Amino acid sequence: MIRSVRLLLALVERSIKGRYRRTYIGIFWGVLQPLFYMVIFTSIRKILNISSGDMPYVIFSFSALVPWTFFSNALTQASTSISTNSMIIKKVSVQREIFPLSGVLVSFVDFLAAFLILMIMVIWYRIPLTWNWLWLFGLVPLLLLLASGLGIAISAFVPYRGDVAMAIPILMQVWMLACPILYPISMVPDEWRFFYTLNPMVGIIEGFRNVIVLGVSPDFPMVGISLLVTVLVWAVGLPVFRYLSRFFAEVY
Amino acid sequence: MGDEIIFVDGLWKSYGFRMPEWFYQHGVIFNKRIISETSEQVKRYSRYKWALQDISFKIKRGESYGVLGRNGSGKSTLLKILAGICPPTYGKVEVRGSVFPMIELNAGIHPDLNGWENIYLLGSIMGLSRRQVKKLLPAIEDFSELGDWLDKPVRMYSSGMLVRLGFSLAVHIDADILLFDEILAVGDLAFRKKCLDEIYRKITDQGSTVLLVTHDPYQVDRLCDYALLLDQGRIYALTEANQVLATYHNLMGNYTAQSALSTQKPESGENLRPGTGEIRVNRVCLLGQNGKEKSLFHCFEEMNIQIDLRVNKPVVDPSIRIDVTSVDNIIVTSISIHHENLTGVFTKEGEYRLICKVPQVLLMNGSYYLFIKISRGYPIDSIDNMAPFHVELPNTSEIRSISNKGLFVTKANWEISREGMMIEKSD
Repeated sequence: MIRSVRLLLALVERSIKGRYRRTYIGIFWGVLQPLFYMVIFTSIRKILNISSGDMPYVIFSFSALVPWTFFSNALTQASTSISTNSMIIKKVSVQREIFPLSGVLVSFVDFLAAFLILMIMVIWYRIPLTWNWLWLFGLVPLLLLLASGLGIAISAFVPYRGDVAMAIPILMQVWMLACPILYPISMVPDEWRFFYTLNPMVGIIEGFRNVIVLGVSPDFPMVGISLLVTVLVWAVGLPVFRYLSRFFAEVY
Repeated sequence: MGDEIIFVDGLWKSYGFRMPEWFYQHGVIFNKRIISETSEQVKRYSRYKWALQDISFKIKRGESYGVLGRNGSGKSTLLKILAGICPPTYGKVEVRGSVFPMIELNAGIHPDLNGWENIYLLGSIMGLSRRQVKKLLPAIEDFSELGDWLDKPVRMYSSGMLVRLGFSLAVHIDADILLFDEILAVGDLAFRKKCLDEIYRKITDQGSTVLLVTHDPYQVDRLCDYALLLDQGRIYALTEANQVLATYHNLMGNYTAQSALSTQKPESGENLRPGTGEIRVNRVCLLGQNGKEKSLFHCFEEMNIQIDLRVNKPVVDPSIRIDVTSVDNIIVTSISIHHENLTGVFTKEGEYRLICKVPQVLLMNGSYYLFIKISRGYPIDSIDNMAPFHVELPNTSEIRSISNKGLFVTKANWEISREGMMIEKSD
C-alpha cells in the first residue's frame, strides 16, 4: 500500500517534470487550454446571443472552464495511463488503480495553476470574497473524486478495446456542450432540466460559478446528484477495475 | 512447510481474460460452448493455448534455481506468476516473502529526465522510498560507472548505458526472492561479469532465493544448485543443476536434429544453398569403430565422419572444413583438410566419399552437430546442423576423475605426496 502510494507520487512527478522539461513556457501550457476556450466562447457569445446576467462573461465562462478542463483532461489522461505505463504494469505487481489516478493527479496540478489565473481574474473584476467560498473545500474534493472514479472505471476497459480510449476525446467534446459552461443553466428549457441535471458535472460547475462569481452557496439538490453519481461510479467502477486489471499484463 | 518459500501446486496458465470462475460454475456466461465445461474438461480438451500445464514444485529458502527451456516453453510466464504480475488460471501459488523481479529494469524511465531523476523514479517502481534510494546513490554511481552521464537526460544514453542504469539500482535491492529473466544478455563483457559476481554474492552471502531464466547453460552451472527444465509448458526435468543440464543438452540436441532434418532436404534446398556449387555435400553421417552408423558416442571412443559429395564440375584444389559445434553454438573444435592434400583429387565429375577418422572423442557430455564448408578462396558449399550426435561419459572407473563440467574431457592422474613421500596415486 505504502509502496503503491510512493509509486503514484513518483509517476505524477515524472509526468509533470517530463512533460514540461523541453518547453519554453512550461506549466503555463496547462492553463492555456481553458484560456483559449474562454477567448473563443467570449467571441461567439454575441453571435449566439448568450446572456451571462450581470456577471462579466469572461469570468462567467472561465469559472466553469477551470473545473471542466480538469475533468476532461483527467479522464483523457486516465484512459491513456494504462498504455503509457504498460511496461511498469508488466514488471511489478502494485495496486493498478495508481495508473489512472496518476493521470487524474497530473491534471489536478494544471487545475491548480488554472485556479490561480481564476483568482487573478477575481481580483481584477473586484469580485468580493464571501464565506460561501468555503464550499470550494467540498466542491473540489467532489470533483476530484468524480474524475478519479470515472477515470478508473474507463481505464479498466481500455486495454481490452482500444476504441474506449479513442472515443474519450469525442465524448468529452459532446459532454462539454451538455454542461453549463458556454451558456447559463437558465437557458436550458424547463422540461429538459431534470435530465440535464442528471449530468454530474452540472452540479459541480454550477457550484463553482455560484460560489466564486456570485458568492452564493451551491445548488444543493444538483450537487447531491453529483455526489450520488460519484458514489455510484466508485461502487461499480472500483470492483470492475480490480477484476479487469488482473489481466492487464497479459492483454497488453 | 517450514522453510519453503515458494509453493506451487497444480498450476495451469492460459493467457487472456477470463470471467470470474463463479460465472462458469453457475452457467451465467454468454458463450454457450463454455457453459457446461468443468475446469477438468477445459484442461483436457482445451481450445485455450496453455502456457503452463500442471506445474508443481516447492522451493526452499536460499535455494537457487535455473529455469531452462526453449522459447515459448513457459519460463517467463512462470516468473510473471510468481511475481504476481499475472494471475494463475488454475492451481495454487504461494510465495512467502518479498519478490523482486529483475525484468524490464528500465521500465518506466522518462527519456527527458536525467540519470539521477530516473534513478529515483526507478527506485519507486522497484519499491524503494526516496530515502532508501538516496542512501544507495553513491553505490549506484560507483557500480554503473556512468559518471557525468548521470546529469544528462537518458534519451542521450546508449542502450548499454540504460542497462547499466537499471541494473546498478536493481543489484542493490534486497528481497527474499529474486527473479531474473534473461537480463544478462546485454551489456559489455566486463559489466556482465560484474553483475554475475553480484548475483553470485547475493546467493551465497545473503541467502537470497533465486530463480534465473536463461538460455546460457554456463550461467546455470555457475549460479544454481538446482534447475527446472520446461518443455511446452510442462516440467520436463526438475532436480540438481548438473543432471538437468545434461537433459537440457539432450533435449536441445533433439530439437536441433529435428530442425536440421526439416530444413535440409538436399534436393529442394540445392539452389538455396550458399556457395558456387561445383561440389555439393549430399550426406554426412557418423560411424563407430565397427563402421556402423550411430549418433551416441562415449568419451574416448573412436569416431568416423563420413561425407558423401557430388562433384558437379572439377575443382583443382578445394579445402574442406568441419566445425564441431555444441548446441549452445560454441565451436568446440574445427577439423580441416588443406587444399594441398586435395590437389588433383576432384578432377572428374561424380560421387566421392570422404572419411575423417577421429581416434578419440574428447568432448564433454552433451549434444553436438557439424558444420561443413568447402571453399577455394571463395565459398563452394556450406551446410550446417549436419549429423547431430550426443556424447556421454562412460560409467567406468577410469572416468571418475572427470567432473561433469566444461567443454572437453581429458584423462588425468593425481599424485599426492606429503613431505616428499608418495602417499596416494590414482588414475
